[in-house]
Amino acid sequence: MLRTILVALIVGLTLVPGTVRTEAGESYVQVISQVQPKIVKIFGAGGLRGLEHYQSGFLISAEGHVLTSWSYVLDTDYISVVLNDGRRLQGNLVGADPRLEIAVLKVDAGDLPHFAIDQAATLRVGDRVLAFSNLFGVAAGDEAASVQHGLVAAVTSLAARRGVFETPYSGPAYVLDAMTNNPGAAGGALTDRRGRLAGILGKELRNSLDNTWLNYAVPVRELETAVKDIIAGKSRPSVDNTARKPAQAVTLALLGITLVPDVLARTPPYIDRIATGSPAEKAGLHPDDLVLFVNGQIAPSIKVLNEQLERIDRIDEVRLTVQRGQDLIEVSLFAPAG
Amino acid sequence: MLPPLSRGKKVRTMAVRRRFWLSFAKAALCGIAATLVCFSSSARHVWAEEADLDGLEEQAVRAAVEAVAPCVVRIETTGGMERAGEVLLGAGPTTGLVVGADGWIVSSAFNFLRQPASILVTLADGKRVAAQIVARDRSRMLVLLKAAVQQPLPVPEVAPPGEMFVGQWTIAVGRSMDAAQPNVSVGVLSARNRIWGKAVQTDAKVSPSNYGGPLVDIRGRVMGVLVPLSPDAIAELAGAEWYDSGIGFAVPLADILQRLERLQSGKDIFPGLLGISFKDGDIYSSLPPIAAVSPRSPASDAGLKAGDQIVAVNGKPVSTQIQLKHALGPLDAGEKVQLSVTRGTEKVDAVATLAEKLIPYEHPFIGLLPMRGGTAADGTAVRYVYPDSGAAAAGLKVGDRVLQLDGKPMPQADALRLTISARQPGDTVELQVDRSGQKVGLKV
Repeated sequence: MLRTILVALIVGLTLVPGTVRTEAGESYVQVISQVQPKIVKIFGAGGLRGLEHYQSGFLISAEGHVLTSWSYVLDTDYISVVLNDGRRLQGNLVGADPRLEIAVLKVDAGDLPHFAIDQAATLRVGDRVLAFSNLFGVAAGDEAASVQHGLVAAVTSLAARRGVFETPYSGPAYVLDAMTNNPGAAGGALTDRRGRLAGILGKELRNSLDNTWLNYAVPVRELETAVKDIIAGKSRPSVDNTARKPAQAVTLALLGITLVPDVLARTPPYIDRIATGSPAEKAGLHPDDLVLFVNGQIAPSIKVLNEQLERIDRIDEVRLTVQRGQDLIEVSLFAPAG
Repeated sequence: MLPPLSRGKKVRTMAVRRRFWLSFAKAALCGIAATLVCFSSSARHVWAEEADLDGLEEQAVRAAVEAVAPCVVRIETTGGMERAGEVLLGAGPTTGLVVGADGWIVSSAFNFLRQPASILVTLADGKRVAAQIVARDRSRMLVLLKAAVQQPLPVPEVAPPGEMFVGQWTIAVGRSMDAAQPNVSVGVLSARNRIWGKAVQTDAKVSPSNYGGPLVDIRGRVMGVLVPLSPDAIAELAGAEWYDSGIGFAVPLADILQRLERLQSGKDIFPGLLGISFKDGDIYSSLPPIAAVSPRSPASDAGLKAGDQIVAVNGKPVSTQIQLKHALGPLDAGEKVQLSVTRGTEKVDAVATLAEKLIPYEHPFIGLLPMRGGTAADGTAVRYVYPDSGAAAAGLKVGDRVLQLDGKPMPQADALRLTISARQPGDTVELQVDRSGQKVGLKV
């Protein structure tokens, strides 16, 4: 065992850059003591029917700008922001970007410790992280927010497939190996192990692919422009290009494919018939082929396959991967013109 | 698929990691630092570099994941059911681990609850191939897949069971969130020999996002395959309610490889059953004598009898029911087990071949009804003979009086009933009956 550790350490040693200045054991203590003054506790609407009336946020300017999560908690005339030193100030909503689920508040104070939002760290899988938030509302008054420790479990897109997560945010996210996403944690800060801001903790979210709770943070780099625009008072375009469907989408009928009847909740998309002279016939598709992928995205059922086709313009290429026996066959189809 | 967890449960998990390892690592660091100081003109600088323990841990974890990543595949399925009973099933990608270069992949049975129409495997290099389930280990809740690969697949290094220590680093690896980069959770080995000797336990986060993936040590050697397991039930869903809770299980890879050949031949593995039962009692403090031996079970075939006191299993002494369960838990159907029992003052060694299922007790049925209220001590008068029964076929008639069974006198209906119930269906018994004063012998 000891040998294992030694080997690992020696391997590790050769890879560590020489810029590290912190001393083991004390490093987290120092880092955390520097980060805590930048974290705020936010109290607002809610408190009824299991809706918490609190969340977390952090300072991003010396003049009192606070970045937090956009939620019902902010939907009130009086938002209370409690600084790390216990000062309770009124937070005024500067602006919000509901698509990114962020909001910026402003408190009236000066010379505040804060994160530099344009110097955010980018994290990789395996990076150690610290999460700062008022989860479960346990910190009150001048108590500091709670600190959690973990690592980046994955860097993935929250909308790798449509409808996977119930959030309007569709960009990359840090999935965390730590139980960070609990009531009140939304809007908290995720830092690397040196205390550099990296992400904003998301809301409680269930991964609909496997029905598990997801612990995640949105990279600050993805939010930088939006935050600057909000502070500058610029309005942001509110059109979500990814949700746009073409006016004339491709259909299976156009390609000459008839699938088996869709009778189950997840009927596998087996081809029943191929129309004579159709693009599908020319491409060599057969009855009994099982359609697996549409333009690289898995089609686990007929329902999903039809939804995928709705987002492909009829003038565009349709790449299908089908299974015939144990072989995977890829074909490219175009709907006939006109 | 899973019931929503209470919020309290979610937060419970912040792992108590590092502890054990840290003390080791710090000692090791001091050693290294002291050595390097001798060679370095700038001792302070060297110390500063080495002392960034978290950085080193980060690097070591990353290196371990990179070592195993080529063997970790992503599994996607099409078609299949939406629910298993009441439980809504997930549809997302899951994980598998290569165990044989020519396309053999193990995964968690949980990942195939939907009974999909088609299984697709995305290899670490991004190539997609079709796969089929070849066999299942229904004791450890694993499946073996065969993927139609053209090129040999990289096979992981196995962590020897003798080199697993409670407290050492464990890294749970999945490939469900991102096809290109495995998802990672870090913890320590919490226990060995869990789930009746079938699994190791970790506090790394184990969930549908890594079921079927490997649990690796800090060198990237595979300790086991992550599966939901429960000490109380053997089922695909059992234990899944403990996802991300700090209690996760992995079936040791060494145990899987031991059974690989059998699985590759398409034969399922079942938990081995013995066929004995005990009276209710404290299972943790004592091992009572066997209360009952199921007829035609491995235990009865091996000659075990009610009243026997088990003292050792495969040479290992057992003194509580829990120890007995631990000793038998990892054994599969078809495996032989040596049982040492004491019967009275006698010591008996028996070898039982464990079974996949126990034959349920069937009532032997001879096909006659005794006369009501018969108090006479000279046999059982027949009130009715069922047509098509053994009794009818043997020519037993209403009014006959059964005197003896296999030479033993049957003075009353109760004695006859008891004797017959101890026999097996299909057995033949010899009856002596009194038919109007004449004694007739019948084979029934």
